[in-house]
Amino acid sequence: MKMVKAETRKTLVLYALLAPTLVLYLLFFVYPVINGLTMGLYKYDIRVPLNYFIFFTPHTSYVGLQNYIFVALDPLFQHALENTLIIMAANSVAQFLIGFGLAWLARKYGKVGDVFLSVALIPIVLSFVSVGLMWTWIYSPSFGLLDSMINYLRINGALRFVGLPTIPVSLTSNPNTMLLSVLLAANWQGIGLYAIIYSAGLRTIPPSIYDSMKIDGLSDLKKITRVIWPMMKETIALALVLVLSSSFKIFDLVYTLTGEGPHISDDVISLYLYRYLKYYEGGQPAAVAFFMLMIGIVLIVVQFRLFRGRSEK
Amino acid sequence: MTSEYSPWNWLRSRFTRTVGFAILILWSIAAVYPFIWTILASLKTNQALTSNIWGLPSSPQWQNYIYAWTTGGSGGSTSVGNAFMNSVIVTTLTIVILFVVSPMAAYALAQAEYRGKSTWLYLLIAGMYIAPQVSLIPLLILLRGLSLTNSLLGLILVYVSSGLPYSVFISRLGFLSIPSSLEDAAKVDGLSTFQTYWRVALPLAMPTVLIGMILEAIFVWNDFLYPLVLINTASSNTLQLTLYNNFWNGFNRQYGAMSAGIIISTIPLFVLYLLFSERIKKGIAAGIGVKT
Repeated sequence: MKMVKAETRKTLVLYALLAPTLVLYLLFFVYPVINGLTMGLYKYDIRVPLNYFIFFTPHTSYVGLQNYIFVALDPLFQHALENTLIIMAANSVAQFLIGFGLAWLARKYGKVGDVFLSVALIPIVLSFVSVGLMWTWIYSPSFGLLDSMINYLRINGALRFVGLPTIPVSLTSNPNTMLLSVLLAANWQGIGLYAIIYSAGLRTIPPSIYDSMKIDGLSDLKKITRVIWPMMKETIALALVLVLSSSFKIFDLVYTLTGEGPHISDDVISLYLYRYLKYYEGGQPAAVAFFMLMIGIVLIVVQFRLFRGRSEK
Repeated sequence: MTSEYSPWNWLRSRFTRTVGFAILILWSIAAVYPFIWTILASLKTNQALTSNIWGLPSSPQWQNYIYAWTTGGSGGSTSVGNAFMNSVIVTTLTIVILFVVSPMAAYALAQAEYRGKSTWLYLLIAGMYIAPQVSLIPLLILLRGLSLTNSLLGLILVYVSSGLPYSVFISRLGFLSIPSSLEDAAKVDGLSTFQTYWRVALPLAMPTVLIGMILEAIFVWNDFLYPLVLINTASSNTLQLTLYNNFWNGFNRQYGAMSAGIIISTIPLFVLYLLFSERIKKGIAAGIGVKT
């Protein structure tokens, strides 16, 4: 009888410890998310000061799935979604290949290699805004870093000479190269991080494996694809989830690089949402948010599976 | 079967080693050079920026820093100095609150199963994968209802609550790694649950808790989206908003002062990185020190 009482007491204390977190989290995180789901069903103008119990305010009208259908069929949204998917795919490939490549190279040089990885990690202290502003300038025509380098090294002259297409100036202002400019900047900043993750993954492989690969005389490429990658499946999956979850909500970088987007066709989904938000139509961005939530849920499911796989071992 | 030793093989392995080394050096230069370029640019006049692209500034323009700090650009509404203080207030208070609140919750969620535990745990972890955009509009309306838009307090509440999943998740890993025998010993010594948490568990979990706090601080300091939507008054602008708004008057950018602003805004995090680089790297390597 006394045991039970002690147990309940402990549970009460634990709930007391949990309480501040739960109050803040439920009020300022869970409640807005749930509210956001229902908001997509209404039509309203968020300039009008709404009661935060959105359903009871007179300025709203129920429109059913209209907002969701509008967004799903909007060519601008489809285009933004397409851009987002391209960024997700390209970031995954780049950070997997280059990030792993750098980690693999660095491993061969021991301590010196570690120093290189630390240096490559430095850009993560920068904000996306700083990266965006720095790269707008790197891309800017005539006095930007990239342009002046291309001019100085006569790269375009050389390309023309051998009959290849030349590198266009000012990547950000050209709609065809806008995505490329975002990808370059994003990966410049992000790759160091993934190199560290992969380098840690490489370290978990027992040295005996490396020795036996040496004895078998496998080439680097065969070592990597046949032995290393299969052994690093978990690390690769983890890094992939991280890349995907950071690229699908990419906003700051695109916003700063394109200056709110000179071309509406360069939108990613979060910028599309922001544009509606700015022009004060409440229901449609809530519908976009719903689609973003769906992508998030897919990532949650994948991540939970990964963690379960890990803890079962 | 060992590969045969021959001059050709020796030459080939030498060659691949050199190429690999060159690639690493090139990548390091690419990672650092834009910083150096920005520092140099922050010391140049606008005219020198276009005429002297690559060189060192002929006479360092320290007044770019003073101009950015006190005036803050022609397109701007508040100075970088003012915004810097706002960001310091927001980041510090957010981290202080998280530092008190999230290890407590993490400890409670690292205990043996009790009623409701897994539900709260999963609900919190799920929050890590929900993009801030999902709750942006309802949050705006909620804060407006509480008269907390355009206020640093509102921003702090938002950062704390959206930072909780990540910081609780990481702190919890710290508590999970504590051997249970230690806590049993504390129980035998007659410590209460709270005393066990405060005197035994928390000090042991502290290194892991700190990783979460450092990464959270970097995130809050650098965040742009929340203030962009929730803050409209100039005096409450945070650093990232100011950097974006101030040095662009619609026609040209004041690159010198803008670079000075970028450097000013990056210095605190750079110092943080130098102080804790091993810890940060360890966290990232474990796959936990990444806040997306």
